[in-house]
Amino acid sequence: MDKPRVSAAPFQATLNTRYYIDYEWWERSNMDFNSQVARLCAEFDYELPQDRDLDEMVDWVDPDTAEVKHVPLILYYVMQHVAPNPDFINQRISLIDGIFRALLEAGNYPMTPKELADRLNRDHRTILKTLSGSRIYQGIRPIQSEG
Amino acid sequence: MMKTQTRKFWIDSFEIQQPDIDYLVNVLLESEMPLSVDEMALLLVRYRVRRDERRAQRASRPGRVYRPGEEHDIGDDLVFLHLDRLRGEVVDKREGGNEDIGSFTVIAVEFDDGPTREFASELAAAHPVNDLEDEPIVEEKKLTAEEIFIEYGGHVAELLQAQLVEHPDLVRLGQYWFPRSLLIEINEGHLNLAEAVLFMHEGGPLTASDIIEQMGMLDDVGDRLAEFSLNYAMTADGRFDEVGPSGQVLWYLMSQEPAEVHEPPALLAYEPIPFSEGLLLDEMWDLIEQIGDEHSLFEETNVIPEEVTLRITYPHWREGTLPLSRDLLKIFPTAFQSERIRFTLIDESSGEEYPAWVVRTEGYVFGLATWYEQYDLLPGSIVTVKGMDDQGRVPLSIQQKGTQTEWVVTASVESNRHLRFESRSRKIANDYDYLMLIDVDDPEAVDTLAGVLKRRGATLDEIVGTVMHELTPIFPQGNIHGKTIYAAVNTVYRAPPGPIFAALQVSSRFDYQGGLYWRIAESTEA
Repeated sequence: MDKPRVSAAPFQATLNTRYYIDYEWWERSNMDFNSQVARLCAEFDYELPQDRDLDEMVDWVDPDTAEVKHVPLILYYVMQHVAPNPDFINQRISLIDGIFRALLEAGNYPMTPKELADRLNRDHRTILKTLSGSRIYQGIRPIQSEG
Repeated sequence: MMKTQTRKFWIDSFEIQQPDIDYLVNVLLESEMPLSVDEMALLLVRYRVRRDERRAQRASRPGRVYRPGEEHDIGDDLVFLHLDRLRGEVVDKREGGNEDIGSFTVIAVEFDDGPTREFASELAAAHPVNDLEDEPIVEEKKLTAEEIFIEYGGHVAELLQAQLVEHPDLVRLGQYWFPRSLLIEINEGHLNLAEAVLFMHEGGPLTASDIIEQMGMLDDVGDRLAEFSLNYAMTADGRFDEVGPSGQVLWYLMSQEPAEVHEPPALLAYEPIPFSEGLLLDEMWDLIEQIGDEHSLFEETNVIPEEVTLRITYPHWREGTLPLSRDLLKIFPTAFQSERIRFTLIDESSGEEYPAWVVRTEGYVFGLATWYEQYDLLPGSIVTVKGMDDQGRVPLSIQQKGTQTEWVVTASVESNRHLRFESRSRKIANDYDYLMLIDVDDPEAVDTLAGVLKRRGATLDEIVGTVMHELTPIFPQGNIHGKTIYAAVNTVYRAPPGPIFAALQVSSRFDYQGGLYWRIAESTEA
């Protein structure tokens, strides 16, 4: 996946704007994305392998459609071993945690508020409002080049 | 089956995408004609159906079914059975990278609509897509785009409206949309002429088309574009007020509008009174709904009544207004754009017409004083309002009957400071609600007293106490119906029935007798 282009210009998000997790935001914020994902995996009794380069890019094959997503190994493990857990996305977690998990489950392929709403069973306007505020949660940012 | 032939697509899956907006903006730019959201929704349905038909035609051609276990090459034309028979061409190929899966290739597939996507190829492991059966396509009778629009056009228009609002290059007026860049220039001279035309027509209401015709200008451009541009310019000019019902743009000169449509008449002014809703029984809520006070809050319903029956209360009778209850609001066009709507009432009996205004934000209809006077109506009279006729007029009527002499609760003011009620005989010739019928001896004296009570900060509890005390001798056993109490309180104090009933329920001075009757508690009487 090409890295989405991010600009500093004023930006008006819409229901068609796609969102993704910006790994650079995590670095700039001095936070460790991999540790966060490892904690999430531990919640589901899954331990990430220690002997692999988790940033290595691999191909994940969708078990239903055979569509391929080219993702960092760490996301491959989440998609393969953690996300299929029926409790991975549930109504008890916060909206932001839900969005974060939905993006992980999709291999961080960008999603619109409508797509996120369908996955989370939440209102798409609430999602747009939450994500289009000035504060960035868990590195979730819009792809601004698409408008 | 084509997806645009299904309810599931239009109701569950359909969303407006950027290509849809681009298509519609191009239509607007090419036609140079403002379009309503409904017209654009129809164009959009046609556009989507055409696109779907093209896709279906491609998909129905014989083609190779995609199976991840097979080998594919660049240029292969593939049918994806599991993706609603999407058809795409292999445009790239690379080695797959995942040691868990073993050796496989990844093909990039370009589809008609949507981004290029990657799929597995030469996959050694079992995959369910390998086992899908290609079933022959059965030709079914298809709905036309117009038939689809009739079924789902409302939903499409709703979604489209929400998207168009976010488009900065489009301007909207009423139902119509147009590219900002193509508006014709309306200058100060045009607007001054429009003001003069409206002034000659006693303020209005006139359509932009009427104004243009009388101005004798802008006749070198298309009618719809000229009207749209003038309407748009007038919207931004404070001299003009848009007073048309939904979907109809009508102009009035702000300076010529009655004062009562800008500020609520004094007797209708209401300061919300909080009350504990838990104090009221179900039957009391039913009564509140039946009374239809404009300040009683109810859940919205989608039912549009054919007619609404209202009982006039003293403040509305005095100000020549009707309460804009939930049901009455439904009689008028539903999606109001304007705060004030100018329309015509027509007396069903005489055919006489009366100019009137709906003041939506304040909850009343203004302009009935002459009509009330003509029929010598009393507060408590029953008025029926029907839905708009085909000429845009709203019929209203009373049920007339032979003149009868009735005993009527009559309000008066004693010594300029005490509200009194007594029963007096009076001739009445129209249908009325006996429990709400209240004559007023000297309206000016009652209004003066109301003003004094307001300035003094009299409370609802206090007014309810006075009213109960004054009404008790008039009614057998001192049992007074909730409607009567509501009507009597409102002679001097504007309040909807909810807070009044709550004040009766919460006070130990009053007992609820059931059947919507209250009386003064025996201990208080003693």
